[in-house]
Amino acid sequence: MTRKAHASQSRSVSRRAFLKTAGAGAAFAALSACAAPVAAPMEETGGEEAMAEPQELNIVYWADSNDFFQGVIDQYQEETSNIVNYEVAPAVYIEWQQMMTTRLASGDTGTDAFHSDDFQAAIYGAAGWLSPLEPVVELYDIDLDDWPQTLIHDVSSWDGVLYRIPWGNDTEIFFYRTDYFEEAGVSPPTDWNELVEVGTALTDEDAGVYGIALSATIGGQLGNEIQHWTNQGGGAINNLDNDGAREALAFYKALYAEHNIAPDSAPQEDYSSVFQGWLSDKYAMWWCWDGFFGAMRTNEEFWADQVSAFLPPMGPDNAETITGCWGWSAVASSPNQDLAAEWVGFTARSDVMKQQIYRGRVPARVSLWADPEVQDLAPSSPFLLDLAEAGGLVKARPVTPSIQEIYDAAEQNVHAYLTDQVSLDEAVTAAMDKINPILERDLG
Amino acid sequence: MFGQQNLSTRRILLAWLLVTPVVLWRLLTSVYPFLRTFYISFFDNSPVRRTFDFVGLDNYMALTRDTNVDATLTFTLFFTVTSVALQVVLGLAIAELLNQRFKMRNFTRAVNLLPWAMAPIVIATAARWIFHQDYGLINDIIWRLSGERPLWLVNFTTARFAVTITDVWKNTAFLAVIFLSGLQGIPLELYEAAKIDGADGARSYWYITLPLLMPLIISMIIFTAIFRVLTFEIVYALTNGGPGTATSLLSYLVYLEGFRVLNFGYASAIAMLLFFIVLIVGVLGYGFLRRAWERL
Repeated sequence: MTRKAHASQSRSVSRRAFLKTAGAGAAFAALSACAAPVAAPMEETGGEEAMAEPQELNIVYWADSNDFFQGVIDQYQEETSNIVNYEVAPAVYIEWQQMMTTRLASGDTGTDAFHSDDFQAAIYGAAGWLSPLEPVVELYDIDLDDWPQTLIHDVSSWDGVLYRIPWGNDTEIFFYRTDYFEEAGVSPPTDWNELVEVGTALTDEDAGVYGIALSATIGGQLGNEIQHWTNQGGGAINNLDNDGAREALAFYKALYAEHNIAPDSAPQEDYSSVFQGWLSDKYAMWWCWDGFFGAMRTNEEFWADQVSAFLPPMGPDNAETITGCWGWSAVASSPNQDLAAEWVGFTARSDVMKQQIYRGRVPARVSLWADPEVQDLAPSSPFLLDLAEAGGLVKARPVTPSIQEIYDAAEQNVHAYLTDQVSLDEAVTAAMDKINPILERDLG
Repeated sequence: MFGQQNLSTRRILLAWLLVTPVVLWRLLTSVYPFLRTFYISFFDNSPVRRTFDFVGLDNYMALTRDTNVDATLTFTLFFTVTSVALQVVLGLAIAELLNQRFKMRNFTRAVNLLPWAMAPIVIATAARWIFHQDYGLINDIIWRLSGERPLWLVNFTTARFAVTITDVWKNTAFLAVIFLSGLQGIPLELYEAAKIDGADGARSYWYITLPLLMPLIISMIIFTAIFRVLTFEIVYALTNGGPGTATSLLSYLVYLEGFRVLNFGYASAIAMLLFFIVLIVGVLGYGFLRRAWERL
């Protein structure tokens, strides 16, 4: 299918089909941990001669929501004459992670490359289950400067070794309902105080409309919330025992428990239910992965001029948001190392990576973000460009090989605080009692 | 004589030959994993950290300091006792109803089993929506009646109730069917004799039905309690162990440590704790069961 055909298809999608796609896209974006390894573009580097005998490449790709990826595979097969066996991974993130963990831990030889997230790059990389990608970067002459450096160094590498090349960018941006803002006569907030004021003006509990959506259920999503709010306070999910992080957590709880600008069901909301609420006109603002933004805007008929985004309001310490990505990793136990490297190199090419816009996602290469076609079909790209140009406003999550353990410890204890079971101090102390030994183990 | 001995030996050998594959299979799939889990519980074993270091009883000592284990044990006990008690009482009541003569009795018996026949993960996922504050079926009814929307899965107490009641709803049907089969095995003559002696329905139930059903009830309490201690899917899909760790069960903790964070050593220690709890439930239950049989 041609690129034009893809675009045409995405524009003529029915509302029902859009909602289905958006839902799938939402689930995909929802648990984004982001980050992936990439390889070099064969065409850009002159490529390699097609093998006389076609070889079989086995890849696993997580949660595609339309047929754009088949186009990527077709292109690779045409260029190399190789055959791609494409396995769709389980849509539920945790199931997907367990599937890959089981395979890799058992020395799987049936998977050559897979679509990996931020956590997987560090966890599997540290375990020795992924192939280092520096040789791929060199072989295919990949210019890693074209990627947000935090994605390369903080969430695609571990211990100085690159295990993934980012393919699709995921950054949490503050999106909002322009019609609600206009109706209430308010502008996007620039700091936390204004956030509460604007949120209050937008909230109409009788009408079931809230100023801001929060997804604080445990299982990964609260962890992301903890990270981006405490980070603005000067802390982090692995550094909660300080005034900034405490202030951030207290502020977060106050949004629904005191200011009532978020529903009091926030501790049980997940991305799926929040997105459902967003589609039902329940929320005016949501600070979440930009994949949701793409899902809202790609249907021009339904969402035209109703949704936009602004830079995150300033917190007590900074105005940063969190970023991450999905990308491609090569499996260390694969018997087809060259083929896996070739695939990673292929997907790192700008022209290949760009095809993600046909599902509303932003490619990881920064140079693509200003491309008009990218800005048209991946509507969060202008905001990512704004963030990039502002400089220093995006920060990857503090990923270490035990990040899942840290997330679990922080989530369980902060959730107990959010649901009035323990005090803030008790929650922070209990969380850090678990996190500190883990950090000591990971970082020495 | 020697010929008979040879025949007997040959039969024994044949018997062993026939059962050996099954015995080996069970050794491989049950005994080996158990022994391996026990062995690993003495190690700091993480494939991610590439460790397999002998740590003695450290993992077991860590259990005593882990606040998650405290919370999990508390809820496991609450969940097991409450759920089993409700299932047995409701199961007996439903069995009694299904044992009556009425139209479409067979159809009703089949419908009764539907919740049990559904996959736990499906029920738990559906329950997550049913208990949702805004979109949930339960809250919709409550809201229509009272204008309130309780936060089932946010509040500590109601979340525990939600997990327990979901489990009870799913599994009571099975107990009812088992108790029904028990009721059908009680000779009608006993009730007729009691009636002649002037016993009313309640007294017949108390002095005939319950004593005769007691071995079956105790057997089912043992099995149901063990299954409750081992429950995983409902918590996994309904609450993720939350709010906080309020609804975390031991098997869910094993899953978190073993499969989410890949601490195989510590997860094995929790699994052994789980095993000993199941063992205690089994041994105590067996003692009660033996006494019940002796009384009969």
